[in-house]
Amino acid sequence: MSYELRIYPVNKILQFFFTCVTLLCYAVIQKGVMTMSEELISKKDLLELAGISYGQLYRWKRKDLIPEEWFVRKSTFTGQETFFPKEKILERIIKIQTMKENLSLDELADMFSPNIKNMEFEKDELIKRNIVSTTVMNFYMENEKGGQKFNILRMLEIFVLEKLLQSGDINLDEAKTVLEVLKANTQSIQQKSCDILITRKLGVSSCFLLVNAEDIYVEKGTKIVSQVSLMTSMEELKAKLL
Amino acid sequence: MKNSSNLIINGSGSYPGGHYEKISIRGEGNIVNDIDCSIFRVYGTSEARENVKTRTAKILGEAEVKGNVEAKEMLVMGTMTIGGKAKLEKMRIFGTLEVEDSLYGDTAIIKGGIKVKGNVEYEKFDSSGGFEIKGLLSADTVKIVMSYGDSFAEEIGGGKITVKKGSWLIPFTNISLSKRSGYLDTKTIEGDEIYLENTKAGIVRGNKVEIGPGCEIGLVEYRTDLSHDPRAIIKTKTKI
Repeated sequence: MSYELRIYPVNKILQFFFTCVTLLCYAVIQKGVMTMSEELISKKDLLELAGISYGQLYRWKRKDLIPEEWFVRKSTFTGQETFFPKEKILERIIKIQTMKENLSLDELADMFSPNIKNMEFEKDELIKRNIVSTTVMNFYMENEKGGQKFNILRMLEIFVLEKLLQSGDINLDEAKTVLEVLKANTQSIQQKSCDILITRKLGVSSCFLLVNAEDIYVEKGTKIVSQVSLMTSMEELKAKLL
Repeated sequence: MKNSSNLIINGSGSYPGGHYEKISIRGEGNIVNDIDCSIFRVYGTSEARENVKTRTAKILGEAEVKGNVEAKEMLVMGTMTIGGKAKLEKMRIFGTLEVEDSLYGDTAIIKGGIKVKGNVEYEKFDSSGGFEIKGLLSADTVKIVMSYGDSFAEEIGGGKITVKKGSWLIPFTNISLSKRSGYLDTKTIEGDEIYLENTKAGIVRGNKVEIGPGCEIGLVEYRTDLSHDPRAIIKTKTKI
């Protein structure tokens, strides 16, 4: 018994040492060959970090919410283990968790399928599909001076403008500011959950882009004219496109 | 599909594919191209060289499809082999089913046997027959009863996973229906709620894990509960 006890840690330490050496060598080689090396996270750590269960993870995989390529198999000393690219998977899980309240998993799967991201529509097609009205389209083309083809980002911009203008909350001048704000912050719009907020005080209006904001408070006398979530707008837009 | 007609083969013959309302093969039938139909029945022997898409399929004889199969409902009492992927939303297998690629759908009831080279993905997977899955078996609820022979899956993952040994010949005794009760052999099992009997597994990970008699488990990692039968062999246990 004592013999076993003595031998066991040595064994384990050696094993650990070898794994470290192998990993180090591997990292060095990888650094030389590949410029981009992604940080990986094991399945166990991921579940703990994201607070989800195995059932959920497998369900999302079945529904193709998590692409097969992200399941990276690697051998460790407990056998084969599954790893994930850390940043990508965490971002995806947060997205799924925030959106699944409003959408079914199947709808989410459509949303994450890459084909919609590369989808392009002609100007006339958007009008024909009732996504934008002709007036808003003309206004947008006048101010933005882009081409006839609309990618998903430009479609989102025009869709938000259409929503705001049609509701009568804002006028054309304010719409211009909204468009400017949207154009200036395309990076955050693509990645984070953003809201467009329009306020007015004593007839002067301003437009804000809220990134990951929970609550906002404004001073007395300032009126919040409209608040539009870009994330939900995107979902609505996608639902209309599909 | 207004003018879709029926294709009935009584005897033997080779036919082109296309849209049909009902396809019924009683003798020996060969279908050369893709077919799309609402009812597909095979009582004899059939071979489809390409893909098959159907609403309901009933295989009482022998069917071979070289391409992919898509069906809302599938009943196999005979033998079916699929060369590509299979999407069988509701399937009941009393005979045997062999799939070269992956198999997925909604509910699976297996009383015969299946053999799949790829992954198997279902919402509800209920087997009291046998299976051999080279990939991952993933389902929301996995229920396996080991009545006859051994079953094998590379990995099992899902929400609730239950594995039980088969029913007894005489109730309340330990005399099994078959000579030797079957075993489930797998490398990893991951789920929220796990109950195992007669299972050989390398790693079992779950929130609530219960290991019953006849198990040989290398490593159990659990989050909330672990209970095990004294007859089960567990090498290492860790609580996360």
